Amino acid sequence: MLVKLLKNRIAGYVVALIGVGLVTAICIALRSHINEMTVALALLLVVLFVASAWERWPALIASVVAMLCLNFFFLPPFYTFTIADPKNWVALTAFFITALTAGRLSTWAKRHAAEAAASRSQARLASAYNRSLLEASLDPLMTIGSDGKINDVNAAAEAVTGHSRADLIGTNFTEHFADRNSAQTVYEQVLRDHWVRGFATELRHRGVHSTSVLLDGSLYRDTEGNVIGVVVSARPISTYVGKLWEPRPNPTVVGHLKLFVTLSSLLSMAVGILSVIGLVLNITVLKSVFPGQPVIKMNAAICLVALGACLWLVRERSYLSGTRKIVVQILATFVVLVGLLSTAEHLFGWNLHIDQSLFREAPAESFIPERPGLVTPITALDFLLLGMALLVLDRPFVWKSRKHWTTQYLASLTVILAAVGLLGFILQRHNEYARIALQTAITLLVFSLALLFVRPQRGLPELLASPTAGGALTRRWLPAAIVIPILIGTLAWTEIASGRSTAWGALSLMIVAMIVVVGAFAIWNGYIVNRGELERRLSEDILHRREMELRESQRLAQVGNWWWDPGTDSVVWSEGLSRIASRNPLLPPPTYKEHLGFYPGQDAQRLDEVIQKSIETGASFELDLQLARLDGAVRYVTSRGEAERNAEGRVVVMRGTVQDVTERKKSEEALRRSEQALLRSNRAHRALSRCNEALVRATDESSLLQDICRLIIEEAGYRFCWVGHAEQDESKTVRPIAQAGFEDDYLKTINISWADTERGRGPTGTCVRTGQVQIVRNFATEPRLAPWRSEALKRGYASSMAVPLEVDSQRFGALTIYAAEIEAFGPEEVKLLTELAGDLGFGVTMLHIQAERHRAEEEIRTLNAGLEQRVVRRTAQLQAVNQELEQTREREIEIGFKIQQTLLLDQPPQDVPGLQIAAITIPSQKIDGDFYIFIRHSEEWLDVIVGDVMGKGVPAALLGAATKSHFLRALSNLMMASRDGKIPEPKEIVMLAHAELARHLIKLDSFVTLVYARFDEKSQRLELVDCGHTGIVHWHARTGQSEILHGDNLPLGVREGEIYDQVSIPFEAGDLLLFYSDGITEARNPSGELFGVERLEEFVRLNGELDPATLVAGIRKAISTFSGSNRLADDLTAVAVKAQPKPVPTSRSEIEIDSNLARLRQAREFVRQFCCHMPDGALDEEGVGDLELAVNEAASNIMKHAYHGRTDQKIHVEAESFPDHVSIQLHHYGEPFDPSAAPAPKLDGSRESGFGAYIISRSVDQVRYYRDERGRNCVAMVKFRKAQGEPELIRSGGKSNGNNSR
Amino acid sequence: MEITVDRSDGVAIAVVPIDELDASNVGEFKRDITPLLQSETKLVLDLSQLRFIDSSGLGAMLSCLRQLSAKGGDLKLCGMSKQVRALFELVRMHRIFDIYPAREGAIHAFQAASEVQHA
Repeated sequence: MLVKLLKNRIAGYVVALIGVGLVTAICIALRSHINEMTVALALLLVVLFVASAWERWPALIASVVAMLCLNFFFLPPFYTFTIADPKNWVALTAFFITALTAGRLSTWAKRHAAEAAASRSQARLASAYNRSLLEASLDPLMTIGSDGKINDVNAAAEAVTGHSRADLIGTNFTEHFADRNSAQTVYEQVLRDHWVRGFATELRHRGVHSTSVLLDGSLYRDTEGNVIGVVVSARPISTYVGKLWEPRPNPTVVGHLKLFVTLSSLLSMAVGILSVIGLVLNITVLKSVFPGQPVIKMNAAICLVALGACLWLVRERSYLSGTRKIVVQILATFVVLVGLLSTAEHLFGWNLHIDQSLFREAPAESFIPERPGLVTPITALDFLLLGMALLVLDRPFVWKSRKHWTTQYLASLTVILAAVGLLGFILQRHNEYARIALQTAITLLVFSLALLFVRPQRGLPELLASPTAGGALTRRWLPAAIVIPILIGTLAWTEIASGRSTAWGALSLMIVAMIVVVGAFAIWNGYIVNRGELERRLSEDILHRREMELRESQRLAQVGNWWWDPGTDSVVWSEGLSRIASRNPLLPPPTYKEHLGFYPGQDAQRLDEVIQKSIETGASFELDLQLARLDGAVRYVTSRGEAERNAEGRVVVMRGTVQDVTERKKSEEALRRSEQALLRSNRAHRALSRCNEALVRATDESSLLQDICRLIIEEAGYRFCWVGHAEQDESKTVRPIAQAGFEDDYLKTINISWADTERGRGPTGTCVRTGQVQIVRNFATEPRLAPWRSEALKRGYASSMAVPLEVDSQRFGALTIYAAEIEAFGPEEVKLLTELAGDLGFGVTMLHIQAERHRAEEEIRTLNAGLEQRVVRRTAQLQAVNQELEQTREREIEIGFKIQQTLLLDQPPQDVPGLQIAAITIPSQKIDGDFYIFIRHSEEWLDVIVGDVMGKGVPAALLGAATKSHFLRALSNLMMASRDGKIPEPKEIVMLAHAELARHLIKLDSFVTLVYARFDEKSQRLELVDCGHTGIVHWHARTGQSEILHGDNLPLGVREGEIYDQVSIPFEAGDLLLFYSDGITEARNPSGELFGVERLEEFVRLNGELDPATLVAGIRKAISTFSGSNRLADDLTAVAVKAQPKPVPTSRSEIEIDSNLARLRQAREFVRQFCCHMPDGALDEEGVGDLELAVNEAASNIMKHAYHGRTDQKIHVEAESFPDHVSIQLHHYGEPFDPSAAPAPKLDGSRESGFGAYIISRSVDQVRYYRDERGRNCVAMVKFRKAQGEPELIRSGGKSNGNNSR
Repeated sequence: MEITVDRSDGVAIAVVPIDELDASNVGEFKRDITPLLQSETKLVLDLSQLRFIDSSGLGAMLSCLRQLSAKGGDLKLCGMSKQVRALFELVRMHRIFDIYPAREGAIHAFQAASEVQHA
């Protein structure tokens, strides 16, 4: 808007007229106070303004109008254009010429200024470009002339050396290195070699420290190519990361300073204007704040307005435009002139009338009556200095690089001057030279300070606004430095002035107060700075450690990081990144462009794009890239990055990391590849396995082939598969006979042959013809597939494989498989599928063979059928005959066995006192005539007859039975004949029986060997009649020796009327007598050796200690072992009798109970009752409990197992007491119990039953299962009394038999 | 027979109410103890009234133990007379069963076991 207005010339004319009119009107109003000179100046200002704003023509008009107005209103005679005084003509003409000239000059100046500005701007641009080249390097950079002096440096060089650019330029560059010689060497080397790289040295800082750098240097030349110097770049070795930290002035302080400056300018203008108004309208309070105080002068007021306006114009830090600049300069020059002239008047006593040139002041209020409008010396000096300060503001005047300093030094001076002026008010004393008005003094002080702070980024205000400890200190100390002395000084002065203290006292007080206040303030600030410093040190230390950790972790993680300042294209690479790129970490990092070169192909572009995007949007990025190392290797890296912004949101640096993920990538890749291969080969394996299953199950060819095709598609996941059969027709067609998968009439279109023609040169045809596996890697490219390509591709077949099929080693056809992927058939698949084809061929071959065999077998079966039927018939006839024979034989054996069991063998009696008897008979296949008889005569006597009838079979058995009955009859007859009931002698019985038998035996041509033995328990003698029997083994318990007893009588039936002798043999308790048949001694082992009497005698001698039952069982076992067979050629009979003294019971009791479990209690009670009422004293409680339990278990077993739960049977319980033991027997007619056949009890809790027998055996000291002479099954138990003192020992002595041991 | 049951801290204590347990009444015992075996996991059999036990009775005890163990429970015995205890020792069943002199001991053992389990 304003610019438009300025451009419009019409507006210029209007402004010229109005401006002149306005000024004229104001001057008329103030006519009494101002003279013509002021009016002329005011009008001249308007002309100047118009000239500067609108150039020539409006300025001319303004000049003319102004001249006319001046003439008309102010040159006497007033209100006419006539001029009375010729002097005024001159004046008017001078004005007009001045106005015209000024207008022209102003226009010219403006144009000139515009041109100058343009050329300056160009020069600046060029210089800025040069500078930017220098500054582009973040590293310190110096250009050095041929004389070795520094020509230019960049900001980094200033920072590193600590000198300003101005200080550095023109100095010898070697001065700034710790080792001057090395710097000189570099310089010379550059001149010699034109460049140098990475020369390590140290750059010296103005302070104490130095920075380790690598120097890069090169020559630089002018446009003609002449060498004009050397450029040296110093690269700090420590990782120099861009511009890490820029001191940012405290924004609050800066804001306050700016506000202060603005307010100051307003204050200055306001005070000036108010003072003018006060002077013109004579308002006392506006002239002097307090009555009687110095009054402000018109010059001072106008100068304040000018200063305020200047400050207002310059307060914004911007390049001042022409007009503004001119206005500022004019105003400042005006102030300088006022100040200078006033000072001159004071110094030299001149009277230049400048005090009255603008305003006529009343002399009364002036302190120099003859010059009422003159400002005080101090004010004049202030104006002079402030005006100068404004003029040199932003100009490189004295200190080239610190152009603000001049202004600030001047402003500082005026602050002091103003303070001195103000001091007069504070101390209530006014010097001659310091009679300054209060408002002037305050305004000048404020203004001076404002001028000091007008450039907040420079000099003192920069320090004030600095966020560092220095800034903080200055902010505290500066006000303190002003306020504290004033306060303390005032205090001291007041003391003196009031007369309360002497001068000496006040001075002392002042000094002490100063020391205390300043000292305390210093200590307080010292603490603050100290704390900050400590924190900084600590964080530096932490930072250092972090850096080391980072470096180490980067090395370990193969990570590197980088920074890039897009503004300067300066790049920093960490050591880790250099390592990843195999770049020497000492080399300077590559530029951005160079860095992109590390990424081959599209990667560089991709990276560039994301980085540019990141700069634009600020988004972070992550990319997987390939990085081509300098050594040529390609690494896979993950690059991550993000943009860092400054407070204004501008991207100042990009930073990021690069991680070498090659190893991971490689292993992932390898894993993926092996997984794929595994998957494929798994599929093929599965197909093979399923196909083999199908092969095993296959029954006919076509379904087998169909199954195989289907399995290949389903299990291996191929697209299509078919089996072609090589026809032997003229065109050698390959006829599809099985197929599976996606076909879509493909087979109808292909028309494949296996002849060597075009249609036969496809993979399937070739495969059939050559018998070789054919693989098509890619249908789209393989030339020989031209005839089928389009059809195949249409159906999505990308690759295929044809495997030959051979059946019976003959060409059969081919199996062709199609896959949807190219190159789907690797070596593994080929191997497996070839194997599959081999198996398939084998399967088909086997099916053929099988079919062939089926046919042959069918034929044979038909032929054999008749023959077989005949054979079957004959076999059946033979079997029937054999069966009959067998049955007859079986029957005979059975009869013999029955005869033997019922007629020939007695049960050995078990209750013969003092004798233990056991017998055993094992019948052979042929019945023998062995027999034995036990006859009990009384408690003392037992007769045992053991005999053997010559011959075998039923006749021998019958004869044995007859013999037995004859003996019994003879005994009976003899006993009846005996009057006194005397038992006949054995020989009598034998002879009587023989007398009856002999005749028959002789007639039958047979004989019987026999031994008749009578045991007399009482007299311990054995009466023996041996009739040609095998002999008797007598084992002597006392000596442990044995002997064979023989009589010398003939067998029965040899001679009639034979006399039989009887021998009497003594025996002792514990002796054992064994009767045996010749079946024992004549048993043969496989080599034909006889068992013999010696072996038997030896056996008895060794085992005579055993009880008879165990002994005979042992003999039986020994014979079995010896003969190696359970089947004996001859009957085996053995009877063992052991003499044992039998004690007589001291009491006896018996009971019969039903075989009902409810009666168990009765049995237990019987036992308890018996045990508690024995004549030898009751059994101990534990023993009673044990017996009770044993009887309970035995009875319970009999009821459950022997009688099978029948409750109508009886159990006879018999109890006998002896001095040292109790004996209880249970008799029953149920099934016998064989303890040796009973399974061992399980004591681990796994079985809930089967403990009975075990409990019995553990509860009593002896237990025996046997059948008694009355045919009852018995359980006999013995419980010894517990002896006093050593019960366990006695008891263990009591268990004499092994099977009872606890 | 009527088996009385006391409860203490989740443990059932059953008193065997007969003085003799043999093959004649073991069936009855098994029948009457079965509901307890189904409902309880921690069972103590108080045998203090029992004067005599035979192998069938022992079998019944084993059966109880196995049924409880099968469902994660346990059986403990207490209050055995000397004679009864003698049979258990005779067939080594004192190693299979947890036997306590008094029912308090059995209950305490159950509690200790559950504490250990929870700990």
